[in-house]
Amino acid sequence: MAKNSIEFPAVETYYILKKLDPQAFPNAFGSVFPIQRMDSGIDKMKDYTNFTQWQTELAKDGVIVALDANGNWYVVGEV
Amino acid sequence: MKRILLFRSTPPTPPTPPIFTLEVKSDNAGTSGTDQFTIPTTTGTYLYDYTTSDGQSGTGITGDTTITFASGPGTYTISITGTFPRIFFANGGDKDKLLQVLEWGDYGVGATTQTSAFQGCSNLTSIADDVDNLNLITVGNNMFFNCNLSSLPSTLTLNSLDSGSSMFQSAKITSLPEGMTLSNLTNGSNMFRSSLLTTLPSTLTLASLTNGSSMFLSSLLTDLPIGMTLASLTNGNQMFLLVTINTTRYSQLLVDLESGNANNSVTFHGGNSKYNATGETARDILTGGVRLWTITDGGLEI
Repeated sequence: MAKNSIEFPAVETYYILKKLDPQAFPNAFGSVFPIQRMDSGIDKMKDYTNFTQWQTELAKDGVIVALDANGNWYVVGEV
Repeated sequence: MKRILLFRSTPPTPPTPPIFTLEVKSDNAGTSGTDQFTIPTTTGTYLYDYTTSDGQSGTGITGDTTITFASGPGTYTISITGTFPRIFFANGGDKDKLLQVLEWGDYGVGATTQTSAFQGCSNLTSIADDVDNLNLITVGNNMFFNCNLSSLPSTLTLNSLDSGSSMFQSAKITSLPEGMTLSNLTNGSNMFRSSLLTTLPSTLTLASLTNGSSMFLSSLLTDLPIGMTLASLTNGNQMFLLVTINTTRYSQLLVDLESGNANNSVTFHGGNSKYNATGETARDILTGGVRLWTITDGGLEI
């Protein structure tokens, strides 16, 4: 059974998932559209509806994301 | 009076070996003049000659060279012989002047890395089918990124390709050659992102693929080859974003991932695809506390 889920959110919702051990690096990240659901076996989740806020949080862990011309986010790099 | 007719046979002309030949339109936008074209090169050893359809020629060239067409602005062919490991537009220079690759010839002999070779050639609409050397490429990152290729030669297998990140991103291809397996590909991130792919060849396995991040994002696929089980996938983030695979096939993929992919903590995006009860069982196992997968898709079909 999944430990964290985002089910058909009202607006696109971004997430960062981390395991319970003190690893700084996110174990999963992404976003969920209103017609989608996300399920994960990873323990800890923070979710955001603001892209910039999510982008900033990811950057703290060295994951750089940006939006393309179509408004889809993509990973620029991981350091 | 008898006439004797004598026929003298001429020996057959040996076939001309294919020569790396480009078609360019000199007055398209670019960094050289409207009656010019610059052949772009990069690091590596070059020693080549060229001839053009209007009679220009050059010999013993070891790097970039700018050709001035005496006939003025227009469309010309350029034939290149000798050692020429990689053309290197890299989204710059005269990228918009290239219209076609008419023959590959000895292009890229021994150069299995073709990163950014034709990147940004927005008017490149077709490439020749003598692709023996292309099929030896191991690294093709960005190679045809943002080109205008609607199809690929049926002879192109890319059987040796290991890394094809963004190789055909935003190219206009609608299908891939039947027979292409991409069985050695490990990095396919963004490879067919924003292409117009509607189908995949039945032979495509992606058996070695580990990084499928955004690989088919925004393509037009609705089905997948039955042998594509993604057994090695470790990163499927955004892999099918904006794509809807039919419920039966997507459900089978979830079953295959659960039974055939031994990796844990994988992020996988199935786009807007929905799953049936069988798929749900597999999906629940993957996203449980043992396998630790993170899966996003369109949910259970009701």
